[in-house]
Amino acid sequence: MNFIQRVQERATALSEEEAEALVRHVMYSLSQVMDQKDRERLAKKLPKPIAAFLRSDVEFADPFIDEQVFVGPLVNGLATEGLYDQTLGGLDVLSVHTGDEATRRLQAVFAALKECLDETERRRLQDVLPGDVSQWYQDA
Amino acid sequence: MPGADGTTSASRNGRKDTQGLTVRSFANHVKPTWCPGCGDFGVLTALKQALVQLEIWPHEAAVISGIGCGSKIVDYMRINGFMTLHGRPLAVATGVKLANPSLHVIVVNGDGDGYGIGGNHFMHTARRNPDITHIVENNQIYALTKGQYSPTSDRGFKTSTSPDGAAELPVNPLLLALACGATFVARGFAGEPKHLASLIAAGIRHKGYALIDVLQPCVTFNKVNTYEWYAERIYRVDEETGYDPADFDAAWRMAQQWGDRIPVGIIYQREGIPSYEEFVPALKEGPVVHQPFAKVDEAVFERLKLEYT
Amino acid sequence: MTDLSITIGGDAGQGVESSGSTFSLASLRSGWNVFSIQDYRSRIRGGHNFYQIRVASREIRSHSDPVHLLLALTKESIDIHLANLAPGAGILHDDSLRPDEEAARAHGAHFFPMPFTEIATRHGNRVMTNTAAVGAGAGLLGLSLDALKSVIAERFSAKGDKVVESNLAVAEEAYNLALKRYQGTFQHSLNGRVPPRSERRSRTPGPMLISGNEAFALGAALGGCRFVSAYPMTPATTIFEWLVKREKQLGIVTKHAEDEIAAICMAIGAGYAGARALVPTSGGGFSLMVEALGMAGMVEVPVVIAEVQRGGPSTGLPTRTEQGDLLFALHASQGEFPRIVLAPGTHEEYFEAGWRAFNLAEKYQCPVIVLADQFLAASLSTIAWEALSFQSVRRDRGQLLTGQELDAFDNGEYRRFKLTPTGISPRALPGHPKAVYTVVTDEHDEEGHITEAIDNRVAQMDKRMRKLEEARKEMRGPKRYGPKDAELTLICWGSLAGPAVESLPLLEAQGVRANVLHFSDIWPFPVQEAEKALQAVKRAVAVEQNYTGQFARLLRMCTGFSVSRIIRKFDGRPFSPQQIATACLEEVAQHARS
Repeated sequence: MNFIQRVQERATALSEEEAEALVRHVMYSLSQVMDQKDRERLAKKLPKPIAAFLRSDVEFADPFIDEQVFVGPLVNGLATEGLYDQTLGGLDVLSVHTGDEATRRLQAVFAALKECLDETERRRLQDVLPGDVSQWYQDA
Repeated sequence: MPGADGTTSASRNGRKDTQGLTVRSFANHVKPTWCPGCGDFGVLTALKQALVQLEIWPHEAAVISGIGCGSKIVDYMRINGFMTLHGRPLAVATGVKLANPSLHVIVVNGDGDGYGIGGNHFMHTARRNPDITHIVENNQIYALTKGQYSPTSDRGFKTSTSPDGAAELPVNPLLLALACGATFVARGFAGEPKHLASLIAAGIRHKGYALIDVLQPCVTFNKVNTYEWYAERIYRVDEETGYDPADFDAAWRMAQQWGDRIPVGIIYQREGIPSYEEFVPALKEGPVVHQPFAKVDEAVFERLKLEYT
Repeated sequence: MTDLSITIGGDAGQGVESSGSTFSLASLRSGWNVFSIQDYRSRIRGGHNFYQIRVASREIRSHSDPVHLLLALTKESIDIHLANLAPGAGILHDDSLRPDEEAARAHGAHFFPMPFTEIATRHGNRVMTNTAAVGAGAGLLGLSLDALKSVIAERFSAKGDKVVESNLAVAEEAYNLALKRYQGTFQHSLNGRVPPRSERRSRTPGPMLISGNEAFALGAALGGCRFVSAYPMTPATTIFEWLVKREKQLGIVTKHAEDEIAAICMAIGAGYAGARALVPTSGGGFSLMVEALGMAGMVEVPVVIAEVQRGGPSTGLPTRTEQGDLLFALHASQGEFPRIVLAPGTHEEYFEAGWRAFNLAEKYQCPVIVLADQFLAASLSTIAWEALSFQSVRRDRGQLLTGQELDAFDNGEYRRFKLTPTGISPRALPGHPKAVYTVVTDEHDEEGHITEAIDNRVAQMDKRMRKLEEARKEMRGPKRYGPKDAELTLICWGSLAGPAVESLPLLEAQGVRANVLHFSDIWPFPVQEAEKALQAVKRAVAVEQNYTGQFARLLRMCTGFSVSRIIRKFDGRPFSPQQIATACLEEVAQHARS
């Protein structure tokens, strides 16, 4: 099983394309909170196609990214269309679950990530993650 | 007669105490109702950081917002806040600034609020040049009303009110601001709060009207202009060799870029232009909210009455 | 007893307005009581304009019909005003005009041709024709030439000595010629009232001749107005212009906004920051401000709106008068929130409203609407020097926390919308470290945060609306003019106080004992005081300048009291005392028959 498949298995009910997009989004967010050298070290531990999702154009971590900004790209990729109920003025009846769903999917990626890392690297990654993300990572 | 002035404060006695000022100084107990991952969070973080950087305390700034998801920002931070009407925060902010120029006045609203219903105020505030920082959370959609196209939606953008795709051309807020005489025009990205904070700080430092248009993904309703979409396209103008934000013609060309490459950063800044308040005679002696009523005394009154005899 | 009306009529652009005000002020300075109205159209040039000046030996409160002397600058003026001339009236006109003598004679009017243009051209140029007319009118009536010259010298002083001298020469020659040519031939006179003003300079200044809008602006300035924002709209513009002209002297921020929505939003912003803020406008502009009015109510920011009504609906009669916005002002904006509506009846009350509105707005932390109209706004009235008194002015900011009080504040988080028995929450202005708070137009809790919780909603609604009950306690009941025991009571509001009161002697002369109940505090409606006053009423008519009798309906809604007839006028022209009296007499006759 490759990395994407492992994510697919954990975050149930995702197509391979969706799982790949999910990984891409998380790698994008990770790139934003890591300095270049940390990112390069992480890249070496990951399968090439996955490492390729990490951005290479960010030198320093953005210290102002919190858990909300971190999950932004991922939530952006959640397929919520079709869940709007027009009798409720277009309210998305499932939107209340968006946060939980985002966390669940994020943790699926984190779990797959952790499998690629030794204990030291795991801890190193945990230290760069902002706010609640660090906790989610730990729980994954 | 009670004193005319209820605003005696630390900011007026000349000393400035920045001991202990952190982003926590701007925190309150209200939990945002924004969608998880909403770009508004990035703006909130960036704004707080900018204020800390500039050593501005919560009581020294007034954040005036309109109506929309992003305008709820004033409820989510400890600050002098005023959430006004849809489209009207610039007008309210102008009143606040002209009555008490000692406050740092910051307007936060969305693209519908700022460029649609509030378009007239946008145009006139830009040319009026009051010392107001205007942050527009531009997610190219009406989110609070569950996803209709906005003045900045690209042509062809499909929503519940544009099922066949928007037929209109989008407003280009940067060009519009430049055409109206704005002295500071910038664009930021909510996904990069550090850079955005630096733009907001520059906007607050700028003397005069400062527009900061913030590209901001609506994670729930805008599945086109996503974090990823922006990330692939944006680039920093300050990293372009030879780009001079003081050059109007260069800024005019830069502001037209949209599509494959989207510039962010300070697109235009012209310094040394007096802000509107400097032209107001009544403010020569300081904020009018600090002026005692006793100035208009019986002698003044009798003189005015004599005009009618 | 002298009581004369003089009309100056001509085309827009002929100087009718300046002639009228010059003649009015000259009459004041000759010791007379003066009341003047202007009638003009919404255009810059062309079209008939007139100025009607009433000059009397006793105190007067309104214009009056018919007219005793017409200064006609055009032939059209004669045709238009003939029907409103008193028997034996005089018509002064340029001898180049060829008026219809037959028609005039049928009216019993006398012509007094004068070489206006010729005199004007000889001493200056054609544009001084109106000065010649004013000079001739003053001469025919024997008004003090010194008084007239003092006014002309002041009016033209900004244009340089040469212009002053030419105008003085024109006026003087026209004056003397009229006196010489027609002495003893005209039955009316304004001769020999009191010495001209120059001789009494050293004593207390004489009475003032002031328009309603000027009186209001003066009151607002005195009341501590610190901010005014507006979009020009007739007939409210002169309030704004008055304040702009004196912004340096008075320390007032003035802002000509991009539209009316911006104007009121700026004022609300300024009010939030702590400045006493005013927005002058008319009905059309007020329509645009309606949403923001509700905002002021919801966030409890004081703001004063001067709504100077004109003829509606829509663009309607832009330069004319009406009382058509009463119920609109009471109900404008969605939802329910406290507001205060004042409708001053006289120039003195309009002055008082200028400062009183700010006190009410700050005391109850809500919007205050001053409802005037074109008639009150633009008419010139004679007011005793002492009647606008500095000592009478109060500046009460209500429960505004001072800096010192806030410094000592040690009671947890400041609660801007704290629940109190009166509904009034102590107000801190933004800028103090101990009172950092947010206000929102959503429903909010005591601290100002958005919430839709049921208990809080009810508590905050109750709190806001309690302020209205608190304010009601200081709302004034109707003012009675005339005898207590009258067979007929004229109920009116706003600007109609003057014409209604002036109609009483006319009714008396016809054997009708009438009085007037005038309401100037409209909302919250002074129910108890009104009911008390209405107990003594035998039969009542409402006199209103609108189509539907809006005040009569309001009165019925608040007290259950019904008038037996509504005397209405909606042609945009102000009610004259004669028109009111005539309508009342019809009602009396009809009632007698039934």
